Amino acid sequence: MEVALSTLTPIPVAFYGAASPILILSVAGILAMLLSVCGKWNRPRSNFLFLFTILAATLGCLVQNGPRSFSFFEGAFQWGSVAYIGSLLIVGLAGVLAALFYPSYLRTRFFTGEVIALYLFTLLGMLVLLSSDDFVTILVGVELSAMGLYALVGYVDINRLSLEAAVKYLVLGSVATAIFLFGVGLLYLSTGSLSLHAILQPVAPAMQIWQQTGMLMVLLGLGFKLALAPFHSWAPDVYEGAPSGITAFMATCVKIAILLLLFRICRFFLQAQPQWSQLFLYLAAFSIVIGNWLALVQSGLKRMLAYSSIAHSGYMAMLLSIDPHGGALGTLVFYLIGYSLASVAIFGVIMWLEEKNCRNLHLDDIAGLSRKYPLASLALTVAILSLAGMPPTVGFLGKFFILTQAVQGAQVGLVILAALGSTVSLYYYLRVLVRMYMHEPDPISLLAPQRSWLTILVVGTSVSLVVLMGTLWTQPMLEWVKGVGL
Amino acid sequence: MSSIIPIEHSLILAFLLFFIGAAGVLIRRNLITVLMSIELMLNSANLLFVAASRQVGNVDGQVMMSFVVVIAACEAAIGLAMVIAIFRRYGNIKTEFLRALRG
Repeated sequence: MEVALSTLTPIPVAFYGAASPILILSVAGILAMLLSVCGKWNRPRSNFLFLFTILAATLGCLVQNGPRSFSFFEGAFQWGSVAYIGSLLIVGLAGVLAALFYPSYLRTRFFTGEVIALYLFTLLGMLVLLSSDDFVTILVGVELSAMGLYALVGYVDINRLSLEAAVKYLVLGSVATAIFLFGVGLLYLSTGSLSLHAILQPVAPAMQIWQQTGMLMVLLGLGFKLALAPFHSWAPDVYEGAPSGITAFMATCVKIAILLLLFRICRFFLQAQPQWSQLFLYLAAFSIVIGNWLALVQSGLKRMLAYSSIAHSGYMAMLLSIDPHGGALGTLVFYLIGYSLASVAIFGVIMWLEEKNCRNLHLDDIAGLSRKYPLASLALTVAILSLAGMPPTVGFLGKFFILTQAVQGAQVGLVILAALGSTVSLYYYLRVLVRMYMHEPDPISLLAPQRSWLTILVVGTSVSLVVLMGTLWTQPMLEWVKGVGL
Repeated sequence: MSSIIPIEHSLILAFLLFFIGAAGVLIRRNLITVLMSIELMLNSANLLFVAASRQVGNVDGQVMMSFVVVIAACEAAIGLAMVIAIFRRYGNIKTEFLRALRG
């Protein structure tokens, strides 16, 4: 069948404004690839291109400020408050994390054309999945970001561990995609549409079972991608095997993208079928228990952080089980910002300490760190206390808001479990601090990092934000989150 | 167009393929076979989309199917690239050799 050209509506000008971050990232990604293919790639050029792209994309997000909402191509591109705040956080954090690669031993590997292109396309995928109401576009976004990550995990630093991590990530991530996709297929069969809004329409009684199964599979597929227990088994391996910068990228940007997507989908799903919030009750409880419990016995720093990130996903998934309509999204964003800032500080210090023949730091490697590097130890201490949820950091407030909302949502059992889990988590967080401050340094320690202003700037800023947002800037932050329309 | 094959048949076939694929991912020890099992899972979803497209009477499912074919191709490309890298480093492509990360 032929589509007459006259039936195609021209693209409205407002689309180019709303989609500017996406357009900038795609053009820059293609440019990075072409430049490296043509042999015109060099370090200054790549730095300039990357910096310019990140700044332009951030500006593109900022210009679309506020709770304005656009919908183009019948919902295939949809710009709203979730897309605004998600894109802004993701692009900003990705720029900061790439800056941390500059002083690390992976600088020459990271700032090459193909890796920069992969990084930008991964970002592009996350922005696409946040700004769509249509499963086709969501799938393209999810997969674009996942493909880029599979390659980044294995390619930035080629060694046995990262290759193994990449293969495990690829296999389990693809299985998650297949589950998600099959669920979308069942939803399409029952509703006859691939739009998220179609879920709200009543379906024929014969199709109800398929709609339910489809919803379950979509939610489980995304839970798999978010590493919620019991689908967490890939996360520790991948976090440990991947280069630390990419681990940080996964712990912050990818987590933000998938959580906000899950939240958007839940807004529709739970409105149609409220009983599915029970699913997140169990997933959150499992993640909190398993994440905190298994983190207790880890000796590798990154592996411990992986289990702790599973527990943090659990805390955030609690919000999904309560109420995806009221103020829960604001709380989620507040928690995500605090968690991401603390993660940036921790991974910044880890990347700074790591060297080519001293990867995957163990707890023993940082024994007595405070004698040699007191400032780095202080930064690590504040960030870890924030993850543990101790006042006066933003982590405490984030956890406090989540628990308050859960009490209001009458999930008292889950609140008690989360509080217990948080108490248990103190043990493995404080173990890091004890090693740093109370143990003698290892005389044959391989750690001899160079001073780097970029790391000091990034880690210092994020640590001060962690403290400031927990004390003086809490009110302005909350008002900003509200002002965005969350 | 009257449908000759009822939707239930396609659904059963799709589910069957999906579970065969899932079992392959879990059981098989050869990386290429694992990748093929993943393709099987993705293609079972494709079958579902195409069958559902005829059932509900619009082409959205067929559009989705073409996107999934592209995505499956990308996944195969990255997966095979990793298989080559693994083969160069380990000398074989059995999954039981990938056990350095655990705990």
